[in-house]
Amino acid sequence: MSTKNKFTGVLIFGAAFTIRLILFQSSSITETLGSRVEIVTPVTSFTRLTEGLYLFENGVPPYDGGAFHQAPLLLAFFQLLGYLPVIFTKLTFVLMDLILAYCLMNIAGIKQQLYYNFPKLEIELKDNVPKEIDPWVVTGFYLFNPLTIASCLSKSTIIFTNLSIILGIYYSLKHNKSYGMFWIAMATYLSFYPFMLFLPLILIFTNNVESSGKIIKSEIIGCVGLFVVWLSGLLIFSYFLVGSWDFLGATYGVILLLPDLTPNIGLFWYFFIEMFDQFRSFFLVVFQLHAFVFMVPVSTKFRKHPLFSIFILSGIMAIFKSYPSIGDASLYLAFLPIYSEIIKYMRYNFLTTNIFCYCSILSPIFYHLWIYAGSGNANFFYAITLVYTIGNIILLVDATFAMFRREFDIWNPDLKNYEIIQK
Amino acid sequence: MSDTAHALKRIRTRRRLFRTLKKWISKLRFLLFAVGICWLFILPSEQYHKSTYISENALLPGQVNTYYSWGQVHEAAAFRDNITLLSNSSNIEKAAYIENELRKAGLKTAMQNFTFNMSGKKISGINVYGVFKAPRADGTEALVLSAPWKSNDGETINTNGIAAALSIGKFFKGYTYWSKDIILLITDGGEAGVQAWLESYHDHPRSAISSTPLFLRSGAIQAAINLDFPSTNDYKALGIFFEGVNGQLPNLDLINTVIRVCRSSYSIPIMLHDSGHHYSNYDNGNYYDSLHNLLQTMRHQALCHPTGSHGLFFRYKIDAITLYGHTTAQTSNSFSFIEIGSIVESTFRSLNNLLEHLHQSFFFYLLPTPERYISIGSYLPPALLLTVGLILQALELWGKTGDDYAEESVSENSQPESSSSSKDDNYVVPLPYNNRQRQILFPMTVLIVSHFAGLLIFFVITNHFSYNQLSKIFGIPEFLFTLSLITSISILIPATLIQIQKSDWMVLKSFTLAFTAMIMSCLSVLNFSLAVFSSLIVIIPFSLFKPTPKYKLLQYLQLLVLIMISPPGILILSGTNLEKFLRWALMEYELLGSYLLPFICCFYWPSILVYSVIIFSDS
Amino acid sequence: MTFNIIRFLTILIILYTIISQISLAQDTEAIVDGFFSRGGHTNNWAVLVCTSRFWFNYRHIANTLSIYRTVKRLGIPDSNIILMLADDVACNPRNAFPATVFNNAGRYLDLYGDNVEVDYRGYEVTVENFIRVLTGRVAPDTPRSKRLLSDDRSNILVYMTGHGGNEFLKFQDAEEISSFDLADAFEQMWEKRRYHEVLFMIDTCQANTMYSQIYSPNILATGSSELGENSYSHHMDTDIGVAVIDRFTYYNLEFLEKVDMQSKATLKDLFNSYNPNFIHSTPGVRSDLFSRPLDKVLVTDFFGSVQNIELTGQQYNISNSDIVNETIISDESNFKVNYDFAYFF
Repeated sequence: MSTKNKFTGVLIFGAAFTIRLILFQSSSITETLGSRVEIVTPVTSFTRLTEGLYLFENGVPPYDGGAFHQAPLLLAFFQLLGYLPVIFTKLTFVLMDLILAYCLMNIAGIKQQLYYNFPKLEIELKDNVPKEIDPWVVTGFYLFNPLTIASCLSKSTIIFTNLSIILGIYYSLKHNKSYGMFWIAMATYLSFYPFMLFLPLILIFTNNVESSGKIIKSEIIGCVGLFVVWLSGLLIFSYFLVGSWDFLGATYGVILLLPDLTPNIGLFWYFFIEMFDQFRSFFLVVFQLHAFVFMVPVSTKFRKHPLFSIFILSGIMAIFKSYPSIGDASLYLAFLPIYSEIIKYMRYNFLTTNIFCYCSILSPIFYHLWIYAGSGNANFFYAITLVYTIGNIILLVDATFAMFRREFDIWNPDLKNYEIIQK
Repeated sequence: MSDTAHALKRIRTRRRLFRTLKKWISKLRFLLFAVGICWLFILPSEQYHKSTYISENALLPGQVNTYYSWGQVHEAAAFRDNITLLSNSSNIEKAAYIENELRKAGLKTAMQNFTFNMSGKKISGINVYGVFKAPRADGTEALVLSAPWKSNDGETINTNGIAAALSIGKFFKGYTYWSKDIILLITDGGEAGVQAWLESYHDHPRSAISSTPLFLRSGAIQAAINLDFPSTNDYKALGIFFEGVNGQLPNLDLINTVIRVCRSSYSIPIMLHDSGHHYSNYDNGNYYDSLHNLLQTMRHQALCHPTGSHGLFFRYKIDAITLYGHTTAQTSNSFSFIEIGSIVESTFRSLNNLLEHLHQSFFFYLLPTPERYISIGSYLPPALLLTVGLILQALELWGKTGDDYAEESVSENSQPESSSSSKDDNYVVPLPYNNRQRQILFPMTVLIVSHFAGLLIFFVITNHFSYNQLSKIFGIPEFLFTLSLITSISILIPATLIQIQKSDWMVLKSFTLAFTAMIMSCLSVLNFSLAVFSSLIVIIPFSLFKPTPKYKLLQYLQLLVLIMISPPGILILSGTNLEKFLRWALMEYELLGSYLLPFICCFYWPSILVYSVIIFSDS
Repeated sequence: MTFNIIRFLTILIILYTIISQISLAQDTEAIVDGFFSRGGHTNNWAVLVCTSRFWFNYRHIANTLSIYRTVKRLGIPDSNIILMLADDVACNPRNAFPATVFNNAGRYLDLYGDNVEVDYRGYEVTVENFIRVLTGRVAPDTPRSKRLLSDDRSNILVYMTGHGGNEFLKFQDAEEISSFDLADAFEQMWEKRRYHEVLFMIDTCQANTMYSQIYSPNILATGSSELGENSYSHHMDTDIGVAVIDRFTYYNLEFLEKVDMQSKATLKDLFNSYNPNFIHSTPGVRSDLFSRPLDKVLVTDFFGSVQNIELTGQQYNISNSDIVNETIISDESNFKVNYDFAYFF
């Protein structure tokens, strides 16, 4: 690593660390952020974690009472943290973000090595060497993304899921099957939806088969086996931790069955408030299946680009999961600069940026009009969550289009000056 | 075959569309601007607005016999005489008198002391209130009848208002049909008193008022009527004040109810605020009066200032209005206690019918006359049109900075597609990707620094300590100018440090326009009038101004205009005392939570600072 | 011998007496039966429903109570009336005259004055309960007062009022009954032989749409307004502060007030009395399912009552407890016919 790189690294991480720590000092900021429905959800709220922790430490089953919906390991972790001064809790959240960013940088580096020999467009080459984005930029995009900072300051526990996902990808790219599967099992254990990423991760291993001379079948079996072992290990460990299986219903049950209809930026809450009881179970199945239904097609279509399908799937997760927050969006947005070569193909950057800006201003305004001023109603806020969702979808569709079109242009360099339309 | 033909057709249509759009986009935004302005001026015309109607079925306004009669009027007159005698007494004596009268009427009473310190100024007073517990209801809901000691002008004593409130309170006690408790509230110390009482009642401190806690309470307040009938004369017209803090409005049903009640039995002319145009039954007024009424409402809203004590209730989801007695209107009618009492009685009977908060009717509306309204769906589009013009320009600039496909020429090899499209003569097929690197470092730096500067200005103004210290040495105007000078320079320095490319100002202008459009359109939901006024001020300079390195004079002319539309410039041009305005704005911010000052400092001013960078950022 | 002859003669006389008695009894029975149940019904029921809550819907409760008062006056006993009131305006704190409900300005007649039996009140008035009452599919522990115990000889008056729209009527503030639900409920009643004839009367906005889907026989329906028309209130009391009665019900009552138990007024007279200019909406009558000509149908066939009467020549052995029951019921039903009669339960 050159000295310039080192300097950039220290600058970026130092700045990110300082900003977060300074902002953490203002309790009014963290409290406001920690109570915003866009940032924390019933399954990631630190306030609820504190409640669960209090019950846990006082010998009351933490999942009684229906306020706490987070994994038992988090309880154990924060109980341990409780023995340290308060500042360590804040430091933990800051450090998580920094580790995550560091892993992202490494992922970007590995991705660039992987794609080094892939065919490229003419303009992407300079003296026959591909022009690549500096991995530090990827880090910077993640660390200084306002969504990331807000999510970190709110002490939302989504960061544990995000970190697990990133670590899972990182170790998988490093061909460390055991760690890779452990972390993705951890992410699944923490918030269930990352199970979607299991498939692309397997593809990372199977894509590597030819060069390393392994057998595909044994790779797959190995991955599935490890995943199952790790996941059941985590569940059993949790059982011994809290002494009952109640946590299954209180965590995954809540994620899947949606008993808590606190507003968030997702699509579920409004729909299920309006829903007649007799249709509820049917539409729950439809909505949840809808989130998972993209898993196989996306993974198979981009089987040569498993990291890209991870990007798309985590985007879909951030839109269609039952309790999404901006923390989910901050994770998938971090993948976009890794695939910087497709950005030039994306047509709606101006639009999506604007949508994100409008949403971040209008959602607090409409929430205020609904809850505090009383002059608006729930439709106001839901309209904004729809706009936010549409913005995300446009971004994902645009990225997918860009990926396809770039592939097309690589294989058909002579068709550059023709308009291509899809029938 | 047909598929190919269809595809060709699609491509051609798309090309044509893009070309037309490109050609017309600059003209389109001027058209939008013109349409927006014209539309705004259509708003007051009679064809455009509709008659108000009662949306909440439960209200049934003006359908009851009123029993407030001469007996009560005599009592009110006695109260009036006593209050006149008390006019020079201390707060404590006044409060004691009111409490005594309320207690005699059989209400549970309490007092509240409060003080509020702001930059060396101290406001203190004593609120008195009485609660009449509804005999047959559960006491979970309440209505407020309030009267401040001081009238709207801050000087005259609200003699008749308080006298009427006392007699009405006593009168209400004689009936059993109340479904909600009734709170009689006499506030002291202007807006601070109301704010103190509301904060304590809801146990929800917002401002720095220190007050004694309330132990006597009732249920959730559903609505409030504030009586402001200054001095002891008869009145010519009934004024209705309804604008609250930050341009918030009460539910239109509340205003409609009062007006229906007035119309049902009395021929009292009604006036919106103190506009001077009074309306009797079925009077739709003329265009200019309506325009004047609208402008007045919009001015109140844009200043984020409540037009009476009622304006503070909105914060707590309570709908409220002030009824004001005008003594100077040119009408043949005159009215006094009997009418005031009956109107309040009938209004309270209607509010008593409520089953939940007023929510049926509009919260976003404009009133050109007391009985005509313009709903949000009708008045928001012109405001949005103005901002759409800005967005279009931002898009256009953004596109311009990214255009570079012209370098590639059309390929010669004749594919069937290209030959058949040959009549799209010299159409250059754009590359499927955009390879132009837009330099966003400079624009982002300027935007962030200028908004940070705005934040700094705001911080300095609101911070009492430095405010007081500095103002002693400099005086506020000088201080503000120094501050803005410093910030402008702090922006210009990075602007000179960063190597500016030719199109940088375009990107910066594009960002600024998009950002301004976003702020304005979002603001128009919160406070329509503030958004309209500020976009009217900035929209022409913002869309026209650009660096003109060849014409230095023009450049400085642009700067002059920017200074004129900057907040200090506007204040000086309008002849407002800067210090007085600042003190007022600061008080509004700290006491009432008005967001005028933060908006000016953190959004309005910075965008003008950015423009002063743009006009000088030529390569 | 003489003894035998005397015995024979005696037997003959007795036989003759018996035979003549029987034939006489049969004749009288036919006459009496024909008199009481020209329509072929032997008992009357009324289901009176107010579906609106809230103080400002005072008039709907007043409507229903007015009809209740009328049918009671014309002889239907409380045991045969199912009264459903969705709110209790009499005890509403907003009521300036507590414990009263009036249907007229000036408050001459207190409908809530004496002996009002509300069978379903407040939140018990639901679409489900209403349909259960009609079809008889009530829970086994439902008291008799909450059941419609009608049979295939029952004439039923179903009166409904509230806020409605095109083919629906709102119940409370949360649910509604559609015209299809209503039609199916009537069909189920018909299949279960729960009525002989039904008069369905509804006073609500677009009321006539509510009976448009009915397809079961022997149902006569009338409503206050056509599709797209509102039904209006008649007048208000300025001390109570709300409207006290609806127009359609008001003009019905105006007619019914002139009817007494012996009245020969027919439903045709009633329907002819409807004047759209007064009612401010176009009342509708649907008689295509009804088999009898309207000018032969007495108003009292639905608004009044016949008791199931059988003339007998002999005394029934009635136990003490039965007598007690009997007394109570006959007290309530204001029955003033001068024939011997006995109840069948």
